[in-house]
Amino acid sequence: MKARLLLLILSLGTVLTVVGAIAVGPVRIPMGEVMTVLMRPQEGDLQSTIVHRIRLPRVLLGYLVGLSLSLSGAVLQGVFRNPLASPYVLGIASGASTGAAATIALGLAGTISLPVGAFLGGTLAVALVYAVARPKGGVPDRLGLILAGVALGAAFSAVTSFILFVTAGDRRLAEILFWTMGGLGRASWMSIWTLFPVAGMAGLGLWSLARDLNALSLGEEGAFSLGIRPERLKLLLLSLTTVLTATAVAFAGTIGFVGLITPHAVRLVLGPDHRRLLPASALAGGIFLVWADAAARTVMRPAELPLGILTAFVGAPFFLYLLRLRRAGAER
Amino acid sequence: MRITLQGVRFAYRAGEVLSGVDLGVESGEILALLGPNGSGKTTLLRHIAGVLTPSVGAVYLDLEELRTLRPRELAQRLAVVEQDRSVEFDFTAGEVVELGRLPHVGRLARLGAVDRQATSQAMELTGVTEFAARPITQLSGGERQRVFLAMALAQEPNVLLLDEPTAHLDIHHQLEFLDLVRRRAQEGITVVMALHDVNMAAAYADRIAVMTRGSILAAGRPEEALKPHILREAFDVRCVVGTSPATGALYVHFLPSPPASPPQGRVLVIGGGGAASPLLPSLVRRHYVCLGVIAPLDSDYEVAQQLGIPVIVEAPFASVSEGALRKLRQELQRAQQVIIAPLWVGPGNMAVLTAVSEHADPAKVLVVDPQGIGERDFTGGRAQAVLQALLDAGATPASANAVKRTQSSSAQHTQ
Repeated sequence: MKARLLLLILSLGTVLTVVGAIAVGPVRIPMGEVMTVLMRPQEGDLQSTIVHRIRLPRVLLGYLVGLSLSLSGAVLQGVFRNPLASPYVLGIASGASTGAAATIALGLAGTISLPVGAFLGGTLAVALVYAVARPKGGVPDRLGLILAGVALGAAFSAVTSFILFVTAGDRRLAEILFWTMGGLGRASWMSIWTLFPVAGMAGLGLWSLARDLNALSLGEEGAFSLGIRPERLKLLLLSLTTVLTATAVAFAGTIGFVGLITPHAVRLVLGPDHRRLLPASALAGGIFLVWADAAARTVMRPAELPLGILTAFVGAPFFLYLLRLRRAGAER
Repeated sequence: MRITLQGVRFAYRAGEVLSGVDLGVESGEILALLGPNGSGKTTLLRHIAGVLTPSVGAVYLDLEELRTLRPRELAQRLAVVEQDRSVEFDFTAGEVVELGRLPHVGRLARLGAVDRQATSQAMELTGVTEFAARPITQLSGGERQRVFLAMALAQEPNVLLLDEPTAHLDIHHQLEFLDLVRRRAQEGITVVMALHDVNMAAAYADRIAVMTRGSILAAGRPEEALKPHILREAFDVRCVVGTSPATGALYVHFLPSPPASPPQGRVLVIGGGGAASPLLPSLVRRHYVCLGVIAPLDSDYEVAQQLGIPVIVEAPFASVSEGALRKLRQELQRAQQVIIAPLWVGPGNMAVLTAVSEHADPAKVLVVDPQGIGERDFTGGRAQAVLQALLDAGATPASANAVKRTQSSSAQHTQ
C-alpha cells in the first residue's frame, strides 16, 4: 500500500519536476507559459526556443541520468549485498574519466566521440575488473570484485592524473577537469535519444529480475536453493548496470552520490523488496538529479556550478544522517 | 522422494573430501549425518542439494540423476535450511517465506492464490505468522530458523536438507524445531540433516549415518549406528549407550577421557545386584578392572558392558559353577587388589565369597562397607563370618566414597 502510494507520488513528482525545472533558469519562464510552449512549440519565439532547445533536453537528460545511476546503484547494492555500494564500485567512473581524458587529450573530442570514449573507458574498466577478479575457470566473488574494482580504479585514476599532468598549461586541462566534475551542459536531443532506449530496456530488464535479486539477498547458495543460477544472474545484472551506467556517464560525466544515496533512502522508506525498490529508486533518482541541476544552474547565477559538486554537497550530509539513523536503529 | 548416492567421490584442490559414499534414503525417512568436523557431512549435503557435483559417482532423486535437473526443477523438489543464513537487508519474515515460492512462479508472473496459500500455510506450521511483519534482522536465532524452515516448506519440497539447523538454538528451540521437522517427515517429506548432537540424532532420526574422513563408517537404525566402538572410531571419544527407561529412546552418554597415564594395576571387583556399579566408572579410568561373578541379567553386568569391563559370567538364578570359580581363582591370583563391593550374599553367590577368602591374600582385599553386611547377609551369618575373618586376617575396610576417591593411590602401592 505504502509502496503504491509512493510510486504514485513519484510519478506525479516526475511530471511536476520536468515542468517545474524547465521554469527555472537565468530567464524565468512561468509554469503556465512552460505548459503552453510544451504543448504548442512556436517557431521564432524566444521562450519556445529556450524551452525546446536548451531546457527540455537538459531536464530530460538530467532525469534519465539520475534514473540510470540510482537504478544501477539499487541493483548493485543488491548484488553486493552492501548498502554502501555505488554504481561506480566496479571502476566505471575512473575508467570513463580516463576514456574521456584520453579523447580530449588526443584532440579527438567531439559531440559524439567524447561520449563514445567515456563509454568505452567505463566498460573496459568493468571488463578488466571482472577478468582480474575471476579465478581460473570460476566466477568472481563479491569481495574479489570489490577489491579488483578498488585496485583498477586507482590504476585508471593514475592514468587520468598522468594525462592531466601532460596537458598542464593547456586549455584541454580545464576541459578534462570540467568533464570529470560532471554536468548536464552538453545535453542534446542526441544524448536523450541514446540514453532513453538504453535506460528503458535496461530498466525493464532489471525490474524483471527484481525477484531473483531478492533471492540473492540470501547469498549465492540460498539463491541456488531457490532455483536460481546465481553466477549467471550476477553476470546479467552486472552487464545491464554497466551499460546503463556507462551510457549515463558518457553524457553527463561522473556524477557522484545519486546512485549511492537515492536507493539507500528509498530502502529506508519502502524496505528492501527490489520489486518496489527498483522502480521507486529510479524515479526518485531522476527527480533528485533534475532539482540538483536546477540548483546548480541558479545558486551562483550567472555562473553554473558543476553538478557533481552539488550532489556531493547535498548528498554527503544526507548520507551521514542516514548512517546515524541506521546506527541508532541498530542500537535500539 | 528417494535419494540415492552411488560411489560419490569429491575432491577440492586441497584433497579428497568424499571418498566413495553409497547411501540411500527412503521417502519420508529422516536420516541424520553424524561425524566430526571435516568428516564431509556438509559436503555430502551440498552434493544432494546440487550445489556440488561429484567428481565420480552420481546422486539420484528417485530415478532422475541430479545433474540432469535444472536449478529451478531442483528447487521445486528440494529445499535447504542452513545453520545460520545471513540476510543482508531488512526483509520482513513474511517476505523471506514468500521467496520460497520463487521456483514455482514465472519471472514476470505475480504470486497467485496457490502461492499465498502455500506461504501462509508454511508460516502457520512453523508459528511464523505472528511475527511475519517483523524484519528478519530483528528476530532471535530460534525465530529466524523457523522463518527459514517456513521458506523451505513454502517451496513444497519432497526433500528437506538441513545443515546443523539447530546449532545456534537453545535446547527448547532445538526440540521445537526438530519436532516440526519430524511432523513434516511423517507427511512424506524425506529429510537429511547433519547434526552435531548425537542424542538429538538418536531421538529424531529413523536412520543415522556416521561419517569419518569422507566416508560412511556405519549406517543404520540408531541402535545399529550408535555403538560405542563406532563413535569411538569416528569421534575418538568413549561413551556408554543405553536406552532411556523414560522414553525408550537410545541415549549416548560420553565419558571423560582417560588420564594421560596408561591404566595401572589389576583390580578385581566382586559385585552383583548393582552393588559394584557405583564403583566401576572411577576404577576403570585408572586400572585394568575385572568384575566377577555376575549373571547377564544383573545391572552390574550392564554397566560393565557399557564400560567395556571384562566379566566373569554365570547363568542367572544358578549357583556358581566350577568353570566360573576356576576363572575367579585365576583372577584372584593375578589381581593386585580385590574389592568386595557391598553386595547381597545368598546361597547362590556364597561360593564366590568363600573363594576370595581361600585364594586371595587378605592384605590386598578391600571390603566396602563391612558394617552393612548384617542386612545383606541371607546365608544365616556365613557371609558375615567370612568377611569378618578376612578383616581379622588383615583386609582393609573402606567406605564406597573412599574407594572412588583413593583407589588410584592404594592400587599403585600394591604394585
